[in-house]
Amino acid sequence: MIRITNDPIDNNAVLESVQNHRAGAVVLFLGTTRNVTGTRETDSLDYECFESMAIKQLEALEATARQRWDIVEITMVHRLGHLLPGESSVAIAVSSPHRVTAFECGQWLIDTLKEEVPIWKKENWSDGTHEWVHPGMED
Amino acid sequence: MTLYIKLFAVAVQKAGTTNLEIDCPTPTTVADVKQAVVAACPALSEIANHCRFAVDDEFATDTTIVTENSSLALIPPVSGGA
Repeated sequence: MIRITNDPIDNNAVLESVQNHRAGAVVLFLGTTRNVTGTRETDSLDYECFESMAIKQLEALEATARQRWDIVEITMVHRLGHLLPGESSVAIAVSSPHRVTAFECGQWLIDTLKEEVPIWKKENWSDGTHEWVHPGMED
Repeated sequence: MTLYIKLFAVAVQKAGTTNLEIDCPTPTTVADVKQAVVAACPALSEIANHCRFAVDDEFATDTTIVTENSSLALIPPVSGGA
């Protein structure tokens, strides 16, 4: 299941979506918003996305993962909009016959999502300033 | 031909629009579109080299062909995930 949503992520629904009698392992990764980056404090975050391409990229990640590993189910959910510290911005769940596969695949999915899926976050700092986060791009 | 480039995140902040209109000879390539974007909107020049282009919802290279039916987007380094 691939979903981009403005609603809070339902962790249990993500887990249930990958459960299957063929699976001997289920791995769930939650990316949660941090309130401290270095020495700066974050009040909130805003996420935006290029939705048609993001869905295509997520589908491509799932297809590649299924070629590379023996996977039963994959669910990737990314949240958009305004998030407070502690909330989940992304959930990735993988079920597979064996745990090593599920861990490896989950790690690869989140690492690759962070490089290839057109979603951006804006830090709303506690000092009242705002900043889009673009890794590798210095102002 | 007239092309419209979808902009996101810091590119919107710099350009002041979510949809940049440019004029290009037809057909053209992503490399030429990139030059035309910077010419049309100099505020994007400092970030353009860090951005990728998407054509029809796929990452493109400099040699990807662009026609008037192409859907184009400027993709700054992404930061989803956490």
